Amino acid sequence: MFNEFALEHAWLIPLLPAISFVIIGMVTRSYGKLSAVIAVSMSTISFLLAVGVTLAVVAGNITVDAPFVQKLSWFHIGSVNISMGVLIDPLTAMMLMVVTTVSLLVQIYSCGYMEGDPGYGRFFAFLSLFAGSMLGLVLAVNFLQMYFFWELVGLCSYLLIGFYYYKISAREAAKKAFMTTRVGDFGLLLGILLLQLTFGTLDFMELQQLVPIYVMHGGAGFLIIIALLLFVGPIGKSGQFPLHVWLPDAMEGPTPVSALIHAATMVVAGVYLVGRAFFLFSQLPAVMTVIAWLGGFTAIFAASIAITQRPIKRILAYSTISQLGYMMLALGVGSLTSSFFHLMTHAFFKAMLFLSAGAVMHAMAEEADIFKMGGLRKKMPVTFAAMTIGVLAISGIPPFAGFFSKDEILAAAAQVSPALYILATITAFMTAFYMARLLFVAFMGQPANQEAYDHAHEVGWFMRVPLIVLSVLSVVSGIWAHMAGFGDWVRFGAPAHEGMNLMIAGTSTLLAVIALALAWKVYVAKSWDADALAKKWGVLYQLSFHKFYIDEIYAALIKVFVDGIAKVLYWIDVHIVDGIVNALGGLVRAVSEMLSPAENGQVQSYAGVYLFGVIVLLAYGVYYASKLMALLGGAF
Amino acid sequence: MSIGLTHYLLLAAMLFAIGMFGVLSKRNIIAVLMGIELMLNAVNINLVAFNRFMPVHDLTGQLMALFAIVVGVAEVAIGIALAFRIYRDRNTINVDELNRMKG
Amino acid sequence: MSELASLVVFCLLAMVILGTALGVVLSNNLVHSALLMTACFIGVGIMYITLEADFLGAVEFMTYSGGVAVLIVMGVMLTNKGEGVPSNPFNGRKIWAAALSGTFIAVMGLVSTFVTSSNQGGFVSEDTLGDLADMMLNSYILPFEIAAVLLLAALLGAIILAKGDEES
Repeated sequence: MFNEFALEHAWLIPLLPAISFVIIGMVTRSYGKLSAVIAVSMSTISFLLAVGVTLAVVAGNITVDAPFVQKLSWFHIGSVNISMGVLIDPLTAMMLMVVTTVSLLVQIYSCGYMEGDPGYGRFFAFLSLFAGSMLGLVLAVNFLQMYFFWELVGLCSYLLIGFYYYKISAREAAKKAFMTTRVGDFGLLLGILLLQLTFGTLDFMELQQLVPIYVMHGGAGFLIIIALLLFVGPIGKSGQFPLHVWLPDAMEGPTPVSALIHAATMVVAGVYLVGRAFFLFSQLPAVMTVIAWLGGFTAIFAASIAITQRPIKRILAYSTISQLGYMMLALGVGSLTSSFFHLMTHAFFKAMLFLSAGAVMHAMAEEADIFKMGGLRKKMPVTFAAMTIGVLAISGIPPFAGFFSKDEILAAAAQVSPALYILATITAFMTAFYMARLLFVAFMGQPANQEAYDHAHEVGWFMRVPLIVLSVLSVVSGIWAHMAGFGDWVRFGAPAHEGMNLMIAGTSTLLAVIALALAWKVYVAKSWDADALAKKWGVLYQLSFHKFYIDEIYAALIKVFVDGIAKVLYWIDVHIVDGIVNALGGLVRAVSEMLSPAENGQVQSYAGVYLFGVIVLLAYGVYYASKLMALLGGAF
Repeated sequence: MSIGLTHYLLLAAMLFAIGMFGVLSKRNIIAVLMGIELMLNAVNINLVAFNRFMPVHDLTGQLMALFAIVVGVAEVAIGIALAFRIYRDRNTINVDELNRMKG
Repeated sequence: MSELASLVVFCLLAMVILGTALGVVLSNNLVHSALLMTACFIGVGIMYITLEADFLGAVEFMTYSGGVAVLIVMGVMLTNKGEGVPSNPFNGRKIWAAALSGTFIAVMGLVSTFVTSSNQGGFVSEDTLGDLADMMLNSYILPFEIAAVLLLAALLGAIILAKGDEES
């Protein structure tokens, strides 16, 4: 009963948070508590509806091959009909669950975290808008609807990164995020336009029918360009190399925002888009290879940076980039199931890690450097427990969630390419190491800053409950999904029934344990001196610490190219454009100077000209009359 | 040779041309007005001559001339008033100097 | 009136009219111009009478030779700057004006060659005043009234223009 209602009214899921945004934004903005209540209650209803939809999907046997679609005509341009609606299949249902769950928990968490902030109401308005946009993106029936919401979540990201707009760094980070993702969005838009031109439709279901036929008849040549352009969007949005630079800077936003947008939901929009358009990508092996290798490279690249970073959120940000690379890798090797499985588990444990980091920073008076924390486990046991679960989950220790999803990715990669498998395994090792480093440095050992340590305290219930819920999810979601046959529902093509590859699972678990032990040895037992190690690996350490100088390289490139182009354009502007304009102006001036003596203000010369005209007309009349007279034979 | 319409028309044309010459070539605004009066009179001569020589059955031409005279008198009254006003405001009635409309 | 007499009268009148008109435009003295213009109007009035338009001739004498001439002379007096300088000089466009006028006469000469219906009767009234009054108050009553309004407007306009703004 409720399931059917939820399915039929799935459009309410994104609409409710959007309504909440309008109400808060227009009416209750200045009443913080009331705004929070509105936002949370709307999110709760959305969450319940999402649960209903998921149950309906399971009960109603809605599969990826037979989705539930509702469409309304959105607009027409000429012969192009664009509709808006909801497309519900297991992919959507899973995303709805993830987004509504994390969004609801983060909103509850924010009630405590944003306490006392002057922008309390505004914060909830933006969070609501984001939730609405993200859910609209998830439910999209065609590329244009997806693009619309894609831009909207980008806008929310911009607004929330720059939430502390009075901080210059926050403003700069917001701009950087917006402009960097814009590069990707431009490619995505081009891809969408080319799709429309090629197939005459943007509807996912129609394209799903058309693309294989097109490939069969016309080959893949042009589609590769389209697919690569489409993939540029996910590169920007999901922080893949080389457009990953905005994501670490986006940590300038409030921590709940980092948890919701820059870890769990928005950044996986790119993964979701590739998954949604998998019927296109999977037809093109060349593009799949690009996706796999780009994902793999991003994963190991970001992990190698994360090892040396000191601010807690920055470590987590690079970790997010790395895990997103993992998901892309999984997509690239053709395993939609493992990618989305990892997407789900990652959303839970990464959101929790961010929320824990937020709790720590909250307790430590916004101190971000992990080396200035230390010993917090006694002061903040709940947070410590949550963080530990998160670290174990992301490291891939059984039976935590990350183990199952990561293992599936590794298995899928091993089937396609040993090189990718090795890359992914090394990344997993590094991941376990840097996450353990974060945990050990911040929570173990002795307090580095006694004064701050004394002020530290466990967080309130608003913040504790989401941590606990997410901890539970981080533990059970992996094994539960594994048992419940996740791959039967979220899949592309035939359901993949793979038993656990014990070899691969064993290897990765062993490596993770070694990494944890290594981190223990370095950072807790201090058997090896971390500074000495850093000195020993001097060049590599510096490269990693400075994020491989990517930002500096971009700055230099921009300086060379943009400034160079600007100089050329300036020259063109001054000498050619202005030259043309000046020449036109000069021409007009010359002509008017030639003509202006006629306008001498002398009424008599005007009269003279006028009378001259009269005489000319008269003369013409005489001429015409004489002709007429000759014609008539000399008489009127 | 009898005097006919052609002669009157030629006379009127010459008078009109002389008035036109005055309008175009004199500096004094009063003299310009005089030229205009000469032109008006030339037109009136035409009207009366047409009435006299063309095959018509009433005095419409003369009546027309009468109205033209009325309008001409009104025009001269306004013209003189304007000239007077310009003289008082700008202390000149030299048409050459009245070139504020110069572009 | 015999043909010869009428020819002589016409030639004399034409000479008077054109001579005085030339005098008006060529004279350097504005007062001379005004006087010559009056003479010219008198010639025109006489010409009206030879054209069997005696009432119009009378009107010409009264309005032009009388009213307009007086107005012009008043204007001359009110705007005269004094002795020593030519009061009625030419401007720089004398040659052009003469050429234009000459061309006009030439073109009109051409036009007059088309006139073939000279001396074909026309209408000669025994009582021009009565006939004009009859037309003016019957068929042409509206233009008559409009002319009256025009004169009133011109009168008021002239007064306002000449009086000027109140000096504050």
